[in-house]
Amino acid sequence: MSANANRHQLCAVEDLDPGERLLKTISDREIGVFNVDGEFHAVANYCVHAGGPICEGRLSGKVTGEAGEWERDWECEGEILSCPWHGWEFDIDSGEFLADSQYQLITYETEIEAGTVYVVLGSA
Amino acid sequence: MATQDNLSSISDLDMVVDADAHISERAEQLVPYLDEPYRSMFGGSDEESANVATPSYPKDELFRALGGKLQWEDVSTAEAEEEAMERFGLDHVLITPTLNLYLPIFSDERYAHALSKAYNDFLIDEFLDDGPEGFKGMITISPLAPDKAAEEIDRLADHPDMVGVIVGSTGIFPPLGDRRYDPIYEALEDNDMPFVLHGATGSFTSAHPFIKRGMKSYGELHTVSHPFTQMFQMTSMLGQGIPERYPDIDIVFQEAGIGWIPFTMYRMDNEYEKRRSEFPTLRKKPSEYVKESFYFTSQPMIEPKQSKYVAWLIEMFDGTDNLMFSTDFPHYDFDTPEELFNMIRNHFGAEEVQKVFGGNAAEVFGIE
Repeated sequence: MSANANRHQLCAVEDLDPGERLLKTISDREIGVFNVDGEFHAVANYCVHAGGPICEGRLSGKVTGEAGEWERDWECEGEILSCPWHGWEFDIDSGEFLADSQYQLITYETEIEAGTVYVVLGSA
Repeated sequence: MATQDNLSSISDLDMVVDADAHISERAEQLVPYLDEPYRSMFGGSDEESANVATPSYPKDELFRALGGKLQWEDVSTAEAEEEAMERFGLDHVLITPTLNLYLPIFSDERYAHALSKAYNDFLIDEFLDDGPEGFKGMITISPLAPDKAAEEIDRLADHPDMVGVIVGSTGIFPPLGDRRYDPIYEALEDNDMPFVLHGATGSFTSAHPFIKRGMKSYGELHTVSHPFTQMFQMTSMLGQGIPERYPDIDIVFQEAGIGWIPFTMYRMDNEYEKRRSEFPTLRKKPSEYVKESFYFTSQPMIEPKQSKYVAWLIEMFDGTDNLMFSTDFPHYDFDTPEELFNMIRNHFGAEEVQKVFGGNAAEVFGIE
């Protein structure tokens, strides 16, 4: 992991516990940083649907079920980010919009070095 | 839209199928076909036979004929249906009932089922078995007892001229996405039959009393009755994943025109995208299921001054694959083949127009 001009410091690993998030502005971009079970995800605070502040939305799970079956489940707790404006749900790991995988969250690569979380811009 | 190979005259069409051709069966015609005890209960005398409808067919308080300004032809015999076929140049007619579209609002599910059986036997006996080759029928079912409806599908699905299963769709409650109808879908799947939904304005008093009360004329009521009915049923089927569960069943919506189709499917896409938690069993957007599994009959065509708007609406639901021409004759708002043909012939290629006029119906109903 070599330092480069696109790499920007986000926070210290110890400042963001699992399940927590923070919002930072870097190079005029609002970026949300999420600690999901120890994995750090950086997401542009801009929903690809209508430009809503997606990083301010609820991070939770999703309802699942099989057609024709009685059971409904709640899965992927802590991995599904939904936009507060219109409820579009995204898998924070794959970035996919659950209702149509042609739409993707705008995400950035993160790196951890010496206890610090970095985002690499231009990697979206 | 192809422009090179347009058809110029309706006589260029290889085949015209009318995907909604009503007969006007009368209650007393069904009495001889009713199972006991209903035949004896309601067919005791000629006078009472005429009143067989009294227990449950809705008393029609609607001002349908505008005091005689609108005239209904009676199509209660095979001869009358054959005459209609010849008059409009139809090669095949998909015969649909009239009174027996009212079965969903019956109180007595046993009687409704008995009437559906009587109608089916009447249709076979008096229309299909001796009628011209172009007559095609559908098994009418009552949705009130789904297990019995499934038995009726099994009983008649092998008849060579029974090409589908039809249900009156106004008044089916809960609507058709509900689990209670699983036996019907299973029978459709087992017998490889398309499922045809046809609304009925006469059922509105029971099915949607407030809408009926609020509409001050038949014209107001009829503006909303068919599309509202079909939107209600289609939304339920999509929301509950019927086409996801039964992808091989073709589902046909009759007599609501085409304007409601793109509106409903894309509006529901919006709901799905924003409230996916409530549709967890869907694997694609409602509009995609519509394009794959749902079919529509054309009448009543809207008639905007510019026919391009009709073509655009048709394109919005992949209509050249999913639309079937229909007359709805003998009702006051019937369409002639020319009406639809003139509207679309400049906007679609010959092959696409042929599909709308017969190819799509032939494929769905197995008509040769």
